[in-house]
Amino acid sequence: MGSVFSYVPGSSFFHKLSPLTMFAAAFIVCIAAAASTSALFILALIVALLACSAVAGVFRQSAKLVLGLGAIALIALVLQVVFVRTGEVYAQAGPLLVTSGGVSSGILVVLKVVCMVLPLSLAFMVAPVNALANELVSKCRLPYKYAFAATTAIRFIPLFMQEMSQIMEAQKARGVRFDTRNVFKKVALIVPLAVPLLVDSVKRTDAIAIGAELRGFSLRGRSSAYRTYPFGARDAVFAFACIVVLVLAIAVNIV
Amino acid sequence: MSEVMLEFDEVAFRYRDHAVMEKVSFSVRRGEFVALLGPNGVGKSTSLRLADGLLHPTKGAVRVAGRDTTQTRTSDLARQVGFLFQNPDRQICRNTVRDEIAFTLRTLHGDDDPRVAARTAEVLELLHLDGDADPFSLSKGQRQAVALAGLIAAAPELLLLDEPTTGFDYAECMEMMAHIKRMNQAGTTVLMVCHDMEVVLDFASRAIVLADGGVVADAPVPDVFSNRAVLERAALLPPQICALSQRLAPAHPELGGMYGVDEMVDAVVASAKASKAATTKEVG
Amino acid sequence: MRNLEQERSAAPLVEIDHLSFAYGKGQRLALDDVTLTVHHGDFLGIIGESGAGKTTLGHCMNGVVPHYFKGDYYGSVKVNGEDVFDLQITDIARVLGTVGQDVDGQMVAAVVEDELLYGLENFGVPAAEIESRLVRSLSEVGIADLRHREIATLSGGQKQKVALAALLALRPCAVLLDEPTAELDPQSSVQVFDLLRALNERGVTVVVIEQKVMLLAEYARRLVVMDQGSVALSGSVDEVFSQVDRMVALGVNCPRVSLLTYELGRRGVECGGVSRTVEEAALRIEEVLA
Repeated sequence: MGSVFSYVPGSSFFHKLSPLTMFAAAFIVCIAAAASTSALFILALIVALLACSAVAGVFRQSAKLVLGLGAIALIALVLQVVFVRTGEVYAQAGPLLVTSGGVSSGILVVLKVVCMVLPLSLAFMVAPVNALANELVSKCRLPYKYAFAATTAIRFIPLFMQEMSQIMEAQKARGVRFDTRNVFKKVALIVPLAVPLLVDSVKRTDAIAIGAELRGFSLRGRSSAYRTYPFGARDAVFAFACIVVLVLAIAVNIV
Repeated sequence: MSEVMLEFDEVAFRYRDHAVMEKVSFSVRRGEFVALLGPNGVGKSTSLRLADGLLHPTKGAVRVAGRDTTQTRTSDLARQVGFLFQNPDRQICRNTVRDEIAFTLRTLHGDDDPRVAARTAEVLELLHLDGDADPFSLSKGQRQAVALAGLIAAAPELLLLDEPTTGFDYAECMEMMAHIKRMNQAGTTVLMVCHDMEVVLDFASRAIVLADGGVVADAPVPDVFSNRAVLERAALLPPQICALSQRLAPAHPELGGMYGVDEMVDAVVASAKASKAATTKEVG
Repeated sequence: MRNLEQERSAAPLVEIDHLSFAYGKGQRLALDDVTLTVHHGDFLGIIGESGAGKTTLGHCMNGVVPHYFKGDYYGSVKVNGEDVFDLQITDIARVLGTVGQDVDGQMVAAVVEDELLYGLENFGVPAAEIESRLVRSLSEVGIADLRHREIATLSGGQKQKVALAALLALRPCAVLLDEPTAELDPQSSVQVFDLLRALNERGVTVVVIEQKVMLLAEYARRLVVMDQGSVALSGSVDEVFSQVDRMVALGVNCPRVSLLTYELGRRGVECGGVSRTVEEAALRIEEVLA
């Protein structure tokens, strides 16, 4: 529900793209972010991605993702600051050094993480996973079985998250200290919960398999999909733009 | 006995952009058996989660035995409050039934509490459970019995029940409810969300009805079921005998105000005899 | 896909003959010598305690047994006169559509209309027909407004309706539902059964496994009470309800008005047999007292 990786219906430019284009583009941007060593370039890319999100009508979700990732990435920042020791020394406390190299590489890592996850999240939000699977089956000749397994797995992530939170709820209610702040204790407590989660997923597997077969799973062929997403001028333009981004990323590094 | 066990003080609760409750106030006194009724989505299950501190109110306060739930962790509250969820599988995480029940006790009272073994054995016997059985080889009804066994062993002061009868067959329901009734008689306060009005009628003494973001009725169960305006507003179907009695009362006042099968049978038999006698007299 | 009228053969929809089944070799029999016929146009309710074999019986009708769950199988099941061993699950699904117990588990799509598309695409419904079928089955179930909604944001009742719409889009001549109201409140449960009644009146055979006996008492035409893998009671709803005492002994939660009218009959106040609904009981009692 409202997850940053689940489809948000709409009719924007991005929704009209072929799901193949959208995911390919997302990967290209991902690589561009990974390849770039310019914090400024990556920052610009993030701003551009947020603008794309606004066009697609999912700005709120993307903004949430950036803030959420930012918080996690702060840990990376701290690690980088502590362990990278190059350049000017800003501060020193015992064996700890804060150097200019540490700070700048820390900031770069944070921006990279955000910039690599954002395009993927955007792709998931504008292109239904089923449509992607259909396209992979019809255009890339991926066997339907694998496409189904992959889409089912993705679709079940939010369901499992929900199940997990309900399991945690039930355990807290019986006195298990999940609300402890001690991370190690928390992990030790979570491990036995794999049991109920596993039982649930095994039960689900039969339901999925039977449910799909009862609605003609084995009859599905390469051309079964009702909706098709032919490549159009829109796709070409967008794909070209993304390749330009990749080229720019590398060019900026060299210059 | 009039000590307040659970109190909702002008509670508002919003979930994302959606207001579930606007202003809900009620209290449950120690030892009571109260049913929480209302249509889907009105916040019944949310109320139970608020009462256990799993959720906190957006506005207002929820107090358990006078203590604000925002001041306590749910895992601490568990010593006082027990929660029987709809799905027992979210709770069970041990390999044997005995271990599962003991786990609840150890979590609450510490690993080396000497009472654990005896108490576990006692509860296993009470519920006729096989302590060595693998919980996951049992039927869903039996797994719910395992979850209930843990609660009986823990003997909470307040027991929260989220639709205890949904998904179980009648015999299982009745057995489970009999145990819960016994806990209530032994002093446990019960707050129950339940769609089965026959169960509400048979077990709860008071009903709190939620609708449109607030409490629309808080009265003894029979009074709620005879209040047509409340039933309609909260989309409740009254128990059958209650509906039948209301339907017959205008023409046959002696059949009004009935709730149970037995009393209704007696009343109709008596009424039939009387009308037969009257007809015979007329003919004679 | 063939259409509904053509599917109607002279043979009964489902004919189960001395069927016994165990999920694994040497395991307890989930079904023990079951003989049962479902005729075209029936509205059949299946009740019984949990573990009595209701879901397994459903699996045997729609071919999940023996095609998905193999196990030990004795006796025979015929759908439209053909043995299920000679048919594929998908052949049977064209005739008898199923909505299983775990509605969340059987959803294959993220958005409502894609969920309906799935079966239509797989069964090769011509593209020209797809849009009209989509629209029709959504409105039949009363969820035309949910067409573009994300399934994860729907309530349990709405999901149940989506599953039903996805099934109806395939135009099966019979539907099998396994506890469709388990997660629903009383009002939504009544809505689902109103829908089933409307379908049945249009000629669709309905087989429904259900714990809420009160609903079956009001809507079904025939009842089967299962007990430990066997058919304990079977017949028209009136026939089965005339044995309320046996139903109680089998652990069935009988409607209170049925218990009442049964008890009245025993006490010498004859009110035309066992009533199934409040309305019926009220009329009968008023008659007696008039």
